[in-house]
Amino acid sequence: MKLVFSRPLITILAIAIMALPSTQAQDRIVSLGGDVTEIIYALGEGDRIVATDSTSVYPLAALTTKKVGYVRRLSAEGVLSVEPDLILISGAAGPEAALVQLRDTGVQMVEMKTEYTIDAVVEKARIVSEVLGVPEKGEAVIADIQADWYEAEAEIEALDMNPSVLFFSTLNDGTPTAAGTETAAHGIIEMLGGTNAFAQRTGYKPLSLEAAVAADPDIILVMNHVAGRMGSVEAVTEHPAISLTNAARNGLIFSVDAVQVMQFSPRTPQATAKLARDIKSKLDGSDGS
Amino acid sequence: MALMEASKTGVANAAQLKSSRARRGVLVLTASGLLAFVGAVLAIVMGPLDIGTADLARVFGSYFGLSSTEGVSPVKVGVIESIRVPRALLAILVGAALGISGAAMQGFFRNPLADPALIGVSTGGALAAVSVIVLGATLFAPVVAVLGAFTLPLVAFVGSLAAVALIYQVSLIEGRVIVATMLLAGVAANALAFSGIGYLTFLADDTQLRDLTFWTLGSLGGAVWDRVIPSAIMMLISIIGLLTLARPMNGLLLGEADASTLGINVEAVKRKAAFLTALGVGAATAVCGVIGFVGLIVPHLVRLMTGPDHRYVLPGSALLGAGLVLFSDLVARLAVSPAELPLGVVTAAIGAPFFFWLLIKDKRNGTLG
Repeated sequence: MKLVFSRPLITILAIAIMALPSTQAQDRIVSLGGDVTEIIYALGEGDRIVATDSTSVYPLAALTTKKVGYVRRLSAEGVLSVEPDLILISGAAGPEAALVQLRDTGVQMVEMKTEYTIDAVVEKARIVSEVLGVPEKGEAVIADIQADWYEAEAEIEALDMNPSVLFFSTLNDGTPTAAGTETAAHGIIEMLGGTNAFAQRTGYKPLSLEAAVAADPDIILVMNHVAGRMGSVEAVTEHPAISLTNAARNGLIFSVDAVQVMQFSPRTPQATAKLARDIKSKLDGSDGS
Repeated sequence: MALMEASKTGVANAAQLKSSRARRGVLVLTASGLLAFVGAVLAIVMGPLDIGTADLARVFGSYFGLSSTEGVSPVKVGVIESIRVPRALLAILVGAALGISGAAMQGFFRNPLADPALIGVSTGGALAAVSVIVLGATLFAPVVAVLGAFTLPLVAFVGSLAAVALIYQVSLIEGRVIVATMLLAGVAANALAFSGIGYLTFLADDTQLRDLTFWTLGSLGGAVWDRVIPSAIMMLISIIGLLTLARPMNGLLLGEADASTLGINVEAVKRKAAFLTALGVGAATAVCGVIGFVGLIVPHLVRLMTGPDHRYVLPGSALLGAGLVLFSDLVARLAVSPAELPLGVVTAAIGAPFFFWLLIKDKRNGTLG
């Protein structure tokens, strides 16, 4: 409550090009961005989607839609080839030239500029539900998101700590990459009440192992594919450099689901709550021993 | 008597050879032009979005008042006008600029392996372009304020020009360009430029990164009118300028001493050629990134068919370059439709094996070095 809802609501900028009050419902939607796609399915409007991008992997039905490529490397004509009557675009989309071309063609297009907060998720859900002409369903989804977030906040408050947190998006393939500010990972760290130990950089940037040890974070988060690649979270803990950190000594290394947690979708509050619970149980466990 | 006869036939033979060369030259130009034309038509007709020929005819007919676009969905009109036409135009100009620049560069370096991408001229331009993208709001802000839409291609031109000058100076030994030195200098220049691009990528924010992926692999996907026009003007100047250099560059073929006796200002010709090459390559790189091998394959093929006369090699390389880029881009657009391949991936897939073939061929003939 204290964290997010008090913030000013300038989180999302939605530009509706050709925002004519459309009288007929769009039934050929292209959804670009996993967060937007999840919201459309959460609204129960998934069957209006004709194509999505490769980051739209949830729910399962999204995988069966036609794929127009990676959201950051879009081809304008590829998107238009499925003959959409509405294009919903998350803040992750690019390159700019492709977006310019899409705007020029006059297909109704709604672009969202994402920030990594729960307010932003709520705002995205509101915009999408209004564009799709189902504001009542939108209210229901928003109520769910907010209810989940109240619960998550309770879990986070129960943690009652202000840890320094380091988030690795890669660890064992060449130089590790850690999350600086203006990333989804940074948003998660702030939601957990923590401090990003790599806040001096923006974006996902290389971080030497020695610097990681020097930063000595209380908690280390790794993207789930990192733990997957290394075998398990335990393997991360035993990594020669990581094992020297406070986080490894206390066993506070956790794997974060790249889709559930980090796409800032309706599932993010619950996934964050689970993360907070995991941390809490680890803390309690080590206190007890 | 006999001597006179012999010299007469000699003259006749030379004249015959000359006219047969000329005929072949014209034939090659016509064929290359035709190829480029077919490529351009296909680029506009084919694409991931299915636009029937009837609709296409209606859209193009409407420009001449022959038909109306009524009944054609505005999306299809938009795809034709804002995506396919500027993209085809860009493909033509980029292909022509890279092809003719390669031919000119091989002329003034006087060796067949001088390719703008291979010896760092394209990456020099790319480094400059990436600097503008990443530092455009800070370090380059005053430049952007003055040059506006021309900033990117002009700065890329400066980067390319610096690379040409550097490579030329380094590889020039006793008035002759040493091929091995030139190629190694190119390796060094590429490494230096990529280190710069790597550093700027590190500084870049998320949005800039999305634009940067462009520059390393090359793509015509950025063909938006606002971006195409400034680069197009520069590429046109480069192409036309290089075409006028055909005769003096033929003189260079004889060797610099002989060229001077013919009254050709060798240094001025070289400087002009280097300047115009950098202009074309820089502008092309600014709008579509590094597209390798076009400047290598195309002039080679043309020279194979027409012989070394620059009056045919230069325009032939421009036309065949346009054709090659048009067809490569068609592959890039359609191979994984509705997604898209980077164009540089396609041209490299064709060009790198060709480069190997050249090396093997030259090894046999002992013409390298």
